[in-house]
Amino acid sequence: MTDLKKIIYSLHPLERKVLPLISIGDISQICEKIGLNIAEVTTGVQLLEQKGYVSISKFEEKKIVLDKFGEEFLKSELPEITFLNELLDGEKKMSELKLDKSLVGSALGILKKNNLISIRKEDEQIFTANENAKQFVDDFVNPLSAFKDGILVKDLSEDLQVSFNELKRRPKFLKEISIKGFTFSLTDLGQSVCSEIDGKYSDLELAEALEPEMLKSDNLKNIEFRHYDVDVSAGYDNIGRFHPMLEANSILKNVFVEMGFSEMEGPMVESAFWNMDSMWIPQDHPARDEQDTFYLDGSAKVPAQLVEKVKIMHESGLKKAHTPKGEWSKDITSKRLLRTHSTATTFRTLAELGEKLKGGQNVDGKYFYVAHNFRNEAIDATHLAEFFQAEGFIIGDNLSLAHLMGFVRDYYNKLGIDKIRFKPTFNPYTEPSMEAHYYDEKMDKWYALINSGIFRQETLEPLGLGGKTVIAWGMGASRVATLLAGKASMRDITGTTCDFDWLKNRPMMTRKIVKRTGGNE
Amino acid sequence: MVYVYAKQSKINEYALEELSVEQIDTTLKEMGMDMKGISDEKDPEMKVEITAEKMDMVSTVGIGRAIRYYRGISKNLPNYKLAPATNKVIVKSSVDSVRPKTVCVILRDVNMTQELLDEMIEIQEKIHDSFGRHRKKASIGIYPMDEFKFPVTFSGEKPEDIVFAPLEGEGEMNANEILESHETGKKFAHLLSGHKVFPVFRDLNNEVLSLPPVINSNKTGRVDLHHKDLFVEISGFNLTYLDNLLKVLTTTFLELGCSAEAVSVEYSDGEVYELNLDNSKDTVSLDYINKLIGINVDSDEIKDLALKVMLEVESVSGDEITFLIPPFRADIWHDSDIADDIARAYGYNNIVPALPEIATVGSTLEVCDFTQRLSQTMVNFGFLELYSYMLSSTKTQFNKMNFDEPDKEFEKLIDSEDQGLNMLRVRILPEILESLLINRKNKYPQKVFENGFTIQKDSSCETGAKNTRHICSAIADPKTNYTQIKGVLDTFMKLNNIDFEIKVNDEIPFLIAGRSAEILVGGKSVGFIGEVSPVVLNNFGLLVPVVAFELIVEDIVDII
Repeated sequence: MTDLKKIIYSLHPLERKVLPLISIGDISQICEKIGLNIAEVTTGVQLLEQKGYVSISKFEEKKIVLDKFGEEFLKSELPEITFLNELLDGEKKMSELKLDKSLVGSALGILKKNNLISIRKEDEQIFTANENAKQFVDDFVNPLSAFKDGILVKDLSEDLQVSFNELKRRPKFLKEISIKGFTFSLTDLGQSVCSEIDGKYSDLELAEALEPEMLKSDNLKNIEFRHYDVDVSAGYDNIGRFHPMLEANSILKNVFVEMGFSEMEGPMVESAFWNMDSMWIPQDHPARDEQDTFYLDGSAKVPAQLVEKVKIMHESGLKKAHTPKGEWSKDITSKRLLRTHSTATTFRTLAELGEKLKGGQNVDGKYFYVAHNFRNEAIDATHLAEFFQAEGFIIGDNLSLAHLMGFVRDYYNKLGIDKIRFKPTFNPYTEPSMEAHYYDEKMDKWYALINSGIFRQETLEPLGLGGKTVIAWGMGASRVATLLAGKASMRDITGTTCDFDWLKNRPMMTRKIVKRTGGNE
Repeated sequence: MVYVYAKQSKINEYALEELSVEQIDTTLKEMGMDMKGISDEKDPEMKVEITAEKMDMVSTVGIGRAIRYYRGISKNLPNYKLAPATNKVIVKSSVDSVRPKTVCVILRDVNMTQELLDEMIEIQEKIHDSFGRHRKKASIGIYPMDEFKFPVTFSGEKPEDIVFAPLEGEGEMNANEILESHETGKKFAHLLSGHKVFPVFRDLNNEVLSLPPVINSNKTGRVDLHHKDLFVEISGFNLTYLDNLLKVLTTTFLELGCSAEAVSVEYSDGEVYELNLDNSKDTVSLDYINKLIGINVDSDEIKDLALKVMLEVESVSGDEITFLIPPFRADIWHDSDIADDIARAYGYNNIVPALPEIATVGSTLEVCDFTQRLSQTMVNFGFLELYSYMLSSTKTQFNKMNFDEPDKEFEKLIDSEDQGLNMLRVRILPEILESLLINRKNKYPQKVFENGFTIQKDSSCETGAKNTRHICSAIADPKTNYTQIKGVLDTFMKLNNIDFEIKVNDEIPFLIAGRSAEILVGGKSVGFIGEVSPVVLNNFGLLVPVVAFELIVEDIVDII
């Protein structure tokens, strides 16, 4: 299809009608010719200009039109004529005049100047019409009528100029306004299109829409449709979507399931026993302070037998204790709190496995939890009082740090991360303890997302799992979600302040963390 | 976490090497520490993060010593000399109720310079703030021997009887006055207030040395550059813990060139404490170490590895290896701590990752799948999912919702860092209304939902409360009405195979009477539906009608 043909097929019906008449150069004439209103034709001309077939040049001109009193005295008559008409019935005293007194002055001036009346003075002024007055009234043409439709300043004749000068002196008779207008003509391309239409397509008929009726035609092959601008920009607003935080959680859950892990669940309102003591965290550990933990009223029920075993472990250790005898408090262990980490649930699960092991069952397995946790912190970009953590553990015989590394590496791989390094660290309930850092090329920086370790024997022994090895890792799921959503601050994607527009229009989430990060450590 | 600020030149002085910043950083990371920042001076100061178990590393000397061993410069464990005790401290039972324990040592031949004095104070303060738990668990006092006479007593006395001129004070005061008006006294008053007696160290002539853990006497507890012999005490509650700290502190000062002499601390029950800087011993199976770490080293290799992390192999007997552990290593409780040290020496990044042979089939919980399906339904309907916090306020949850008083029990937060938060939410709609307000400039209709947790009090639960999932969906639109949201609910329930009934309820305070109802599943009320009351909309600052329903997912799961 040639370019010109494509252009012609793409013309909107309005454009198609207006284009051949552009050379007329005047909107109202075009309107008359094709029976469309000014708005339609103007739209047509503008569309053609956008496409480059018509060029428009704008101008601005002064026009004289009637003002408020001008309109009024055109409808009635000028005050001087009213005045004269009164006098033609006989002389009148000032007090006898019907003409509005405020108009008498100016009327009088004009009549005197043209020598149409005489004035004599007794106790008040008395007006008499002169002989020429009758003729004057009969011949009079209201000069305002010449300005009825408005006249462009450039079109004023000499005579009109005189009458304009006079009328201008009278307040609110006439006013000058600016009018904006435009002229238009075909561009070279527009000219070619027109010629092409004239030559080949004067009878072209294009269907605007596919009407169901048309489908009944036996001439379907020959129906031609107007060509659309297929690159037109359009929007879509009726979007239902998952929240990025929960979408990211689903990704992390899926990764765990793919790796053979089973889901756990546990209470968010926990006891200090499951949140801390079961993990051999000393009761005076700073993480237990109120500025880190949300404590709640009352006390929780705790498993008495297990509590006794844990107490002994705190006070004796396996080789060394960290709490002097008699100092481990049962009041502290039954305190209620919002769990600070999902490891609380991990330990509930481990306790259940300990029971199973006692019953002779095989307890080797893999478990995970993507869960809500709470820290008593003021909220800022990297600290949320409420956040998600993804945690997984594997229980078995002779599991090692190397195995932990293997799983952490594979977990990272599934999130698009392959450059990682391991660093020893310290956790009260794991030894060895390990951070796994990943390298972000875009930021040229290492980031820590995963904390991990092998649970201390001191934590497993009371649960009846002495001799088993448990390797575990956790990651800040809220931070992963922030990274996957391409945001810098966790606050941007959580809480009631989230912007609906962004939630709807954010890019689809992938599993790849690396190359999309913009976050800070 | 503890941060130590250490100059590169100082680290190198103690590490006995000229190390670049990069070398120091790499070595720290391999050891399990981290460099969190660095100044841009010519001799840069590094901000070194020390993990919470490494008492021996909370000083530049400690960091330098660890690097020296890790990099193989020192080939033998340090041999710290300690002279036998010639002086004693008598602990009276009167102090038992307030601060029962103290451990002491004397430093001799101190070649005191301003630099050394600064370093001593720095170490003292670092320990106070970290392992001393801001002096609560342990506090350190240092006194010039020239200014007082042994034996020293440690006893509990009435505060008004403890009268002395404190450091940075204005003349003599009693202990109560110190806690009330002295700068340092006020700061640490909470550690003593409420006790009938306060702890006090006095010398032979009954002269006060200090009021631990608050302040020293200006006369007997002020160390100057001309002092050569210093008395050091640590007071607290747990003798083992204090002993560990004293070992760390003493060996650190020995590294700085002092000598040390034990002090005999006599307790009222006859027990005598004296510092002992001998190495301790622990025997661990080589096989255990190899298996736990996932490496395969023999007993010769272990010897070299052990030295890097300041342990020494004393003897090997078959699979059993006996390690010597220096006195400052308070971080070794069990075999796994030694195994981990060996792993650090081996280098975490030299260990070959592997996968264990445990075959499992992954699975998710049924309730989670059900919840996910409900959310998916709402998304299919074109609703936008929201995620708001569970931490909320009684203002949002009850007051704005037109409740005169809470309609159900809820979990209160006792002490929240964030002033606005004082409870855990019991329903989701109020949070959605907050979101709608924030988004009032966005296009309408706004169709949103949240499927999340609430916390409901439940005395039948072990911890007194239950995680309870709710799903709440709402439409905000100038033209919305009950019929529209009812249509959503009907279809939502039908698609999820949930049979339900509607029970008229005109008494729901946050909904418009005549346009509100309870939702029953299996005869049980599991939620509400209706048009939100204009009073509530006004309370939230909304200028658009909102219709909503909320369901307790947990209750539905139980029934269907």
